[in-house]
Amino acid sequence: MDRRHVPVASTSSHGGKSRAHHLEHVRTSSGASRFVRGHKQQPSVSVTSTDEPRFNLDNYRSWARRQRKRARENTWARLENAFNACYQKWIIERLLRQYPLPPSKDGRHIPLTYGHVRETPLKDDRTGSTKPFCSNFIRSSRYTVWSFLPKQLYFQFSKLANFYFLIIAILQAIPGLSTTGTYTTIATLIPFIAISMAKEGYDDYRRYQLDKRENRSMVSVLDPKHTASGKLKGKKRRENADVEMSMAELDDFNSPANVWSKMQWQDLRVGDIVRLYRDESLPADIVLLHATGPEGVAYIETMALDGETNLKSKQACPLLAKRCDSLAKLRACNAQVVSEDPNIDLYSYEGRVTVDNETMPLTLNEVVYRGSILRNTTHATGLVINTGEECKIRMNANKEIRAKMPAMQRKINHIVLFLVAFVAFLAVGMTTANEVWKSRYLHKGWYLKAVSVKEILIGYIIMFNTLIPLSLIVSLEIIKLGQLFLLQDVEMYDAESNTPMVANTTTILENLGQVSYVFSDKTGTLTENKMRFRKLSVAGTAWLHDMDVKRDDLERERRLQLIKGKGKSNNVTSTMSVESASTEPIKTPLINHAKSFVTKQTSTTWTSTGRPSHAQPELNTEKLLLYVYQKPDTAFSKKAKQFLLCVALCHTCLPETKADGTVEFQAASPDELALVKAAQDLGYLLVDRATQSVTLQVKGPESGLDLNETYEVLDVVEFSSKRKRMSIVIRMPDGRICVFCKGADSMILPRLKLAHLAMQKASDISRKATLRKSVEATRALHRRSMQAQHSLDIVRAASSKQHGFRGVNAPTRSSVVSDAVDSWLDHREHDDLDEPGHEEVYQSPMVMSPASFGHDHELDGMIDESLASNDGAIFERCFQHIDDFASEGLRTLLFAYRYMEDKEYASWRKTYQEATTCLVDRQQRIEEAGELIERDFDLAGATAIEDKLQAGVPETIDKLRRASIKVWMLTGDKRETAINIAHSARICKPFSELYVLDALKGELQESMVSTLIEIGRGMVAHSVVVVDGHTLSIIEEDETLKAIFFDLVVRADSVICCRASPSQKANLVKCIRDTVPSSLTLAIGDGANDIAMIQASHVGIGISGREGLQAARISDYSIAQFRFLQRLLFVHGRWNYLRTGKYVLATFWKEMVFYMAQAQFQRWNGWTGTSLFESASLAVFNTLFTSLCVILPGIFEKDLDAATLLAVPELYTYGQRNEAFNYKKYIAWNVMAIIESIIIYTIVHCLYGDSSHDLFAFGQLVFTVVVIFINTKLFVLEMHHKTTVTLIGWLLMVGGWFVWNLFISGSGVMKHTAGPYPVKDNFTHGFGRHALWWVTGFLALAAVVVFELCVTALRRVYFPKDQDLWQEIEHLGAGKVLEEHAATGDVERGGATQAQAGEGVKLGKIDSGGTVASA
Amino acid sequence: MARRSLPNPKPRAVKGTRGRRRELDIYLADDHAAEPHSGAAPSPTSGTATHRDNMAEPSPGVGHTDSIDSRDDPNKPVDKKKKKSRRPANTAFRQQRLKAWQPILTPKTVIPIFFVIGIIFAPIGGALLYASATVKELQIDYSTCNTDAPNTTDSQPMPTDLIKASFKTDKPAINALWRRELTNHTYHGSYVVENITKCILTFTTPEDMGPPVLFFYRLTNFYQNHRRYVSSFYDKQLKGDSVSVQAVKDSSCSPLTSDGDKAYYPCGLIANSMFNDTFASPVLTNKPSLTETKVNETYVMQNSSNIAWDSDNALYGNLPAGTDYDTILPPPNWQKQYKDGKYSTDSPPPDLNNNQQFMVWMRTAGLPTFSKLYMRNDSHAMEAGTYDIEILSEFPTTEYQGTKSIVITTTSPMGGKNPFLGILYVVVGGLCIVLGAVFTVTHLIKPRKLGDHTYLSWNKVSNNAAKSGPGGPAIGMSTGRDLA
Repeated sequence: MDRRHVPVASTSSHGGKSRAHHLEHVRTSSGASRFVRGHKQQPSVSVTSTDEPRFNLDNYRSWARRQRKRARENTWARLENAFNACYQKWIIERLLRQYPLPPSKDGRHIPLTYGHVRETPLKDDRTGSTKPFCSNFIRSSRYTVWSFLPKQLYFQFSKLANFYFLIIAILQAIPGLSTTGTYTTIATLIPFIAISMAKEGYDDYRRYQLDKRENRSMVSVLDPKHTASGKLKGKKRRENADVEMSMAELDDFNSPANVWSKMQWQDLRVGDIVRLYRDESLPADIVLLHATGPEGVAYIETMALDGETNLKSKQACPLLAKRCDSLAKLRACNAQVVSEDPNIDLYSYEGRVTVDNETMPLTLNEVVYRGSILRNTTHATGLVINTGEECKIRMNANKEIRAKMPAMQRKINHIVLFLVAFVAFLAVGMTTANEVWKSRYLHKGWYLKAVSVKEILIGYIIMFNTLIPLSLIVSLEIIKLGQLFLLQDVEMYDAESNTPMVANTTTILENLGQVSYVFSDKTGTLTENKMRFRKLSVAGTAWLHDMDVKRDDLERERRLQLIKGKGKSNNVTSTMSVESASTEPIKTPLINHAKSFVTKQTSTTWTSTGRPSHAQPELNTEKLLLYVYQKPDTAFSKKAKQFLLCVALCHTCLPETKADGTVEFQAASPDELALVKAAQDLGYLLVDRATQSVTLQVKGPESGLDLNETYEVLDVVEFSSKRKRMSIVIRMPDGRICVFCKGADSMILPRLKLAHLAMQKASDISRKATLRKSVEATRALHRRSMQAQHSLDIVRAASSKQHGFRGVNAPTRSSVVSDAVDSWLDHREHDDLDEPGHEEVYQSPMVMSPASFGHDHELDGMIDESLASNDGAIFERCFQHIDDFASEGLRTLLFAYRYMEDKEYASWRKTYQEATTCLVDRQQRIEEAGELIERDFDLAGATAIEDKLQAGVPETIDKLRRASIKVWMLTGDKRETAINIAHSARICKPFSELYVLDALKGELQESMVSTLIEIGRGMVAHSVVVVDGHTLSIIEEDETLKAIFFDLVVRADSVICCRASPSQKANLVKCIRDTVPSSLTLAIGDGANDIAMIQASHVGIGISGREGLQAARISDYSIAQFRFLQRLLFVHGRWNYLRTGKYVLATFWKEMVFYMAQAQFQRWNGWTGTSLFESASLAVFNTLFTSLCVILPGIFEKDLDAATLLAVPELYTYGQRNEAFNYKKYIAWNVMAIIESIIIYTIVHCLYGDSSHDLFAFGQLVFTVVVIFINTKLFVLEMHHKTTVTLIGWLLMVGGWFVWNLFISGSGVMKHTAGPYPVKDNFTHGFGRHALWWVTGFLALAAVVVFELCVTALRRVYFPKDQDLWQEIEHLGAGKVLEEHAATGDVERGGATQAQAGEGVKLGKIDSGGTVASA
Repeated sequence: MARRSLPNPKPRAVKGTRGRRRELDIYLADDHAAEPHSGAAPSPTSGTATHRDNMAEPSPGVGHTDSIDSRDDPNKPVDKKKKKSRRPANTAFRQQRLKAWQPILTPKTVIPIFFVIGIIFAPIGGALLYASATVKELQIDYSTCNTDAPNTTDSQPMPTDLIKASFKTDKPAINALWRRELTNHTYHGSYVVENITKCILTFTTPEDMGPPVLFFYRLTNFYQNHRRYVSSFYDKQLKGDSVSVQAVKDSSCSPLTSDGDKAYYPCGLIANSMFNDTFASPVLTNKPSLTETKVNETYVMQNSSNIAWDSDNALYGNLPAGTDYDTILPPPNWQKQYKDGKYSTDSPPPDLNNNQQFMVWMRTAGLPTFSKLYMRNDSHAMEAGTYDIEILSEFPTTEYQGTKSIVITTTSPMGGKNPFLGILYVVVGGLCIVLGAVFTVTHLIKPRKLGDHTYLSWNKVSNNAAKSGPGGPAIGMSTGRDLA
């Protein structure tokens, strides 16, 4: 088949005309539909019209098939699969008699028996009712006592290098073959492997301990016969008894005998009835029997499962609920639950319950999974349906966790393989040479006797085996420990939560420098999960609510003070450094005092992180209140009051008045909480909510006194994800009935009284928005094409200036460079953000308020009263505001209300009652009933809630993008929420094209293909693909869809995945690993639902200190704040990558230099294998004389300053392109090694060889030159960051060599011997006293150093790399500017800085840098 | 209200309620202290609002406090005693802020480096050349003496390519002549071996040499570093320990350990192949005397001391007293020198302890071409004149295409003649200067702009991306965009 016609999949990779042509006509249809944009962030997927010729996907399918085939035909994979199959068949099934369980006929039948299960466990249908259900014991440790050793040995020796050394060790142990001792290799290898194994063992033991803690958590179980208490011993039992007593008191079952036993989780069985108390975790998957919440609702937090932050309300099935609300009833209840077989799907559940021949389905609404937490509900009772490993959360957990390997390891392995081949080649080649030599010389050489081929060959193998030094692995561990030690960066320490960065593994440190995909969780990772009421729009005016901005600042300040005060009290050193802080400049780019002070002045400003340049309303809600108080009777004030009333009433929050009179709210979602709090701020305090009424404390209009007003709640039509709105019917104090509704704009809009007008205005606004967006997108595209021209010209200017002045005017030069770099960086930073100047043109006019609001009476001017009575204008403004809010990443809600007649209500009430009590399709009927009153609304206003991002998140994401890292957001949350956050976190830009893939909205394949084509055309400024879990599961099932999907997502600039289950998240990561094997993935998350993803990725990062510790514990690295990712990746990741790369290169290089000298010498001994070097010195070459020169740069090297790396994230691409260690580089270093080795050997051979008295003197001279050269090159020429450590290292190594020589020569350790290496006294009395020896050595050394210098200089001057250029820029004095730019992304521009600054002022000093910087 | 708290199933230690209460008090105090800051808010409720909001987080409930991890609840005051700051040490070392020397190889820094190296090396080279030039050396290859030298009493001129000489005088006239004769030689005091080729070399030294004057023999193409050869000795036997025949057989002397039940003494390939030409001290044949006639004067060079390393003395000892000569044999190559090829009281085994020539030989050379000191004179100069040297030429070299030569040389601080050393110094120095010059010139003609943007890789990539049309953000090359 002609390649050009392989259509879409390959389009963007095969450039050229055919594609452009092919795409053009597709564009016509999709382009048009794209502009019909939903009101908010509605899916803008272009749905291909039907008249369009169907895409010929056959080609794509065949492409996908080929791909699959190729994947399948991988020999190694096939072998492995075959092996696994055999293992499964023979070992597991035949030997251990463990068969995979067949699916049961119709699910598991669990009778609801009163504690009966405690005596006789239920049998699992799937085993033919022979075995009980699996226990509730969980095991996440990877090894058992028995499997540890074989598995670990296999694992250790499956490492190529270890295996190689094992072979060498065995060869060495065969007597008569080795020339270098018998046990040297094995003696080094065994302790090393033992340590690695011990480390693994310890890790696994820790996991075991954690499991144990979880398994032994307590839960109370219905156990009338007290079977459990016998298992608890001694003291514990007594304690339990105490607890039991108090429980009994609380027990509303009022049973005289206590039938509840505390027992460990692991003893729980299927069929048990468990009783849960508030804030307890679920020990297993249960079917809810009864809950004490309002109307039998139990509120469940499922964050650990799916990351959703909303509390979910679960309700027992009505059949069960009424039969299980007391112990007596429970005892009498004869129910049977039939549950689906355990499966991985978190989002659906099927089951049924039969009581007295009455059957009802069980759905997600009645089932609670292990890992959730009971909230806001005093008690709940449930029937255990799945236990242990069969719980949904365990099924979702990543079972086969492979040990993470550094990406570099693969290449190292290849090189080791290559070197093995090279050693073999050398050995064979030299053996052949020896044969030739023998045939030409030996028979004439009467004084010689031949050496057998076998001895020669193996002798050579053993001689050159150290080309792959054992120290490679050992020292690698050492440098990683060192890197780990230096990873403890104060700038990654979060003072607020007192959490430093924690590294759980050293193995994959360098992976941090090569990341190209970041998979981020949303809740708790990007966001703080604090909802803040931010803006409102009422009667055509937008207001900023900044009271909680201030409140947050204050709180942060206070907390910091607490920590700091404590820090000082018990940390003497920190106080000392406080004092010295003034004298010694703190080199931290995160501090930016000047900026902090500026922001302090305007403390009430709030900028959207999504669109920082966006103009903000200058009115805040304080002024709104003021106005309403002053002019309570204007149209505007009335509307405002009505709106505030809406906010205060339309919710389901429960207030709790505390002892000290403050009110605390219980809300199902943090959004509602934010709204209620805002209402409180605005004068409507919710003080009481009885079942049927709401009491508000309202500021009296005139007196300012608190008035309590009671509103009777008649009905609540609850929120559901389908309805996207909630309504509440209230009887107002004046007796009128009013229905309040809040919901998504798309839901409210059609239900307004003036829906037609509203729709028209909305589409006007959306047209404008689309226009603005397309203009922005065009500009972004333009900018991108201009990027090349607009690069670092300025530096050129600066450098030419520098050459002009020749350093005469040094300060000028450095300032010129600084300015140049500054403007260049500015340009890059604001690359994708619009300049504010352009903005106004495309926006509807805002209310332009008078310049100052110094006095209250000037408030008149700021409100356009005429506007308040013009519905059209209000709509227009309001929708404009909503659009603005949304594009700033705020979550918008519309509020509407309608007064209704009593009559109307009464009739509706009837319908609604019927719906709520109906048993079939209840949900649907409730929705239908809701529809009836949700109409003809008056628009009250709109609110915008900010899901508060963590500090510095958008800046970090910007920088990640600049570093060519793709940021994907995988969340369990709703699509709208996810998109909102994507906007505020700048994963989506204002002009981004969003492609929503939704299986429910028609042809998935076609929409994907058309999206692919559009992206492929390159005319999309920034493309974001949005996909949800359901769609994803459909995609995962179909290979073709999968192929297209992954082709699409790797091309998109970003991907948002919402409503994804943990295993889907992990799967996505895995698939990217497979689809783009060259990429390195990083997953970052904070909750238990991220664990699978964290484990599946190359690098797993946990956010610690906030949500929970599961993710942090299981992750490879944990940080306290998302923004620390910048430092972790750009600075430490890059450094460590560079260091490790350099270490590996240098290690191979030095062996090459050393052994190539050895190889050259072989030509002069008849290729017989006589060693040039004395064996004792040879044995310690790697450890004593050339260890630090690879280890220290491996730990301490820094090619660029942290500030530079942070300011120029583009430098991060260094690792993505594998520039520190690749084959090209390896070959280059090796070529250098060979040349240098030749130079050294030849010089020594020619100048000293003949004059030497013995082989030892000769060999020692080569050795000396090599040692000094290796150390000099690696310490001085290669290491950019030369500190005292470097100097000490060099002195130790080179000095050590001479000390060694003195030692072996002078001390009594070495005895006098004859033979080639007369060590004793030779250095002290022999060659060491010969000037020729020294002079030759010096010359050889100088010659190689000059050669090295020459090559390096040529490369640097004529073929400079990025880091060379930035080193020059640093050198030219741009450090200050770079530091400033490094700081921009790190410090949150708003509150955090302020609080910091405020505190800094108050304390008058800085706690040695770090604390301040980290906020 | 949704609380973000640990869904942590583990039971947590219940903290003492009294402690909690105290913390709360502290916290409340703090809260009130913080209140004035919120005074900016004009709303009369905002003060209390702040307060309430802060208090909103901890809520009562059974078992509630237990399940909240302290870090989850930002409002919960930290326990001052228990929790200490986990901030990493902020030292220059830990934070990688050590002062560093970071020179950059810019054209400006490279050029001076080259010039400096050049300027340092050139004079060193000169000095070394001078030192080498002061060494007077004469080297005569007599390998073919046994066959090519005239077997007469008249010496014939040697082929000139066998002679190398370096004296101050240009083109010195060495006038080397050679002849050979068969002679009888008495070994070890009593055993006379007949018909040994004696090679007589005659040469003229144009200048006085030394002192000291060293006399070397020089072998080429002789692999003393051969793997089997080099280790073929038995240190205990050499040391003079009493060793059994079996011990010798098992020793490292393999493959030359014994003949039948008799062990070679000394065993091994090295000893066996010991250089066995015998050199007499050169004899000055035209020494001008007080009388007109020229007299012969032997320039005595001693060969029994000071030619081996002092330290080597310790390695060699005499045959242990009372060794039965029947249990040992001379090595095959030595047997010619002993009656019946055996040791006997008349021709006893060599006294290794005092045999410095043996020691010199046993110190194996590193390369197949080597010189070994045979004799020396440290006290007197070797006058200019014509010398005769008698050599008992027994060592076969032509078989393996090797050569043997005598080398008579004076010394310099650098040892012997070694002109290449100086030359190489000059060459390296010169190369540096040339490189420096080249760099300077290219830099002046076409300077590379420091920090030139065209070299930045992401610019290159973006250029490419722009050219190839689609491709999204400029720097996406490594992120899978180039997927096939």
